Amino acid sequence: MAPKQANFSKEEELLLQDFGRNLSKKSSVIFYVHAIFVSAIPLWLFNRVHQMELVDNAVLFVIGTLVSAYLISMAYKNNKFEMKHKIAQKRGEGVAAEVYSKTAESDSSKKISKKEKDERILWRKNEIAEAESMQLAVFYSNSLFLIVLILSSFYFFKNYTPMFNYMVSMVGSSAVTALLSTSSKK
Amino acid sequence: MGFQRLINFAFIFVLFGGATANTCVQPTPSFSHYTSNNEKLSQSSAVVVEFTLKCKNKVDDLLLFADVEGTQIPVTKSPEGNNFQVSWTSSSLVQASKMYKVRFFDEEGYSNLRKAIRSSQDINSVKELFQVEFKHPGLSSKLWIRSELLALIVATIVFYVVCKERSEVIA
Repeated sequence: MAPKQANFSKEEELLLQDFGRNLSKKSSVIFYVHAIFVSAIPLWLFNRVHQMELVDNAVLFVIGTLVSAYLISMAYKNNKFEMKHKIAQKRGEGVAAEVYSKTAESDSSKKISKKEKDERILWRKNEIAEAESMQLAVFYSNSLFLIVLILSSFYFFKNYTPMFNYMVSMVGSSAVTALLSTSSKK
Repeated sequence: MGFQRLINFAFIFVLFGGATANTCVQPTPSFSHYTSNNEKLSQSSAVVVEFTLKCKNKVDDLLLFADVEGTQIPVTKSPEGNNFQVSWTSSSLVQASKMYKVRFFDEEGYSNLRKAIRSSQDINSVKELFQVEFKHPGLSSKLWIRSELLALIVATIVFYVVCKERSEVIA
């Protein structure tokens, strides 16, 4: 068996960084903030409709929110990875046309090499795919989480105690969201 | 013999006197009421009626029962004085406003009421000790669809739109 090549070129490392599963710091922060916000919204629902006092159930709410936020952020990450390279493929032609028209408009005396143009296209494609995949991942995961939460909390576990209802609904909905994000369409 | 007859009359007098000591003569209630009427998401409303009862005679440990639209509810009394309170919840109260009549019975009246119910007689024929009337305003506005169903429908529409967009991207 041939030995694996451990050393990657600079371009390959950049490609891995851009299209790999690992998130940049900025993306991680955005995802965690969204996840905590979405996990905290049902607290108002359980407080007003199920009559659960915030102070009395503070520990339960904190644990539920944190667990749910972690699972939802995992769903964001998986969905974003799945959609990013698909979006990059779809937007490839449009981005290339945009970059070519911009370079043509720039000073004609300064000739830009094909390699540089390709790098610009790749960078722009990555930037657009990153933003669009993040937004779509957040939107999709949030709507899936909320619909499962409404179904479980107000229909399936309606007659259970509020505490049990909260824990099972929150953790269950976020777990279902994370689980469905791990599926991949081949 | 005359003395014996006197003692008998005195005994009978005490018996009846004791029996009437727990009945309020010429009751005069002064009452206040509260109804929950501003909860759009609730499926039932609560009513609380509090009243102070003044009687012509001195009454000890008066037991009262309330009849609310055919349902009998015991009335609680404060340890001191003649302050009473009765409360109940009902899903029918969520509906439009109307006048409510609450009839109050003492022990004797309540047993007559129970007899009338058991023998399927008209309970309105049983004379109450007194009654109070108040207006329940009802909800100012009510959704014709349950709120959780509306939330589910909206969430489903949003999810459908998102799924469609996602499938276009993944395809």
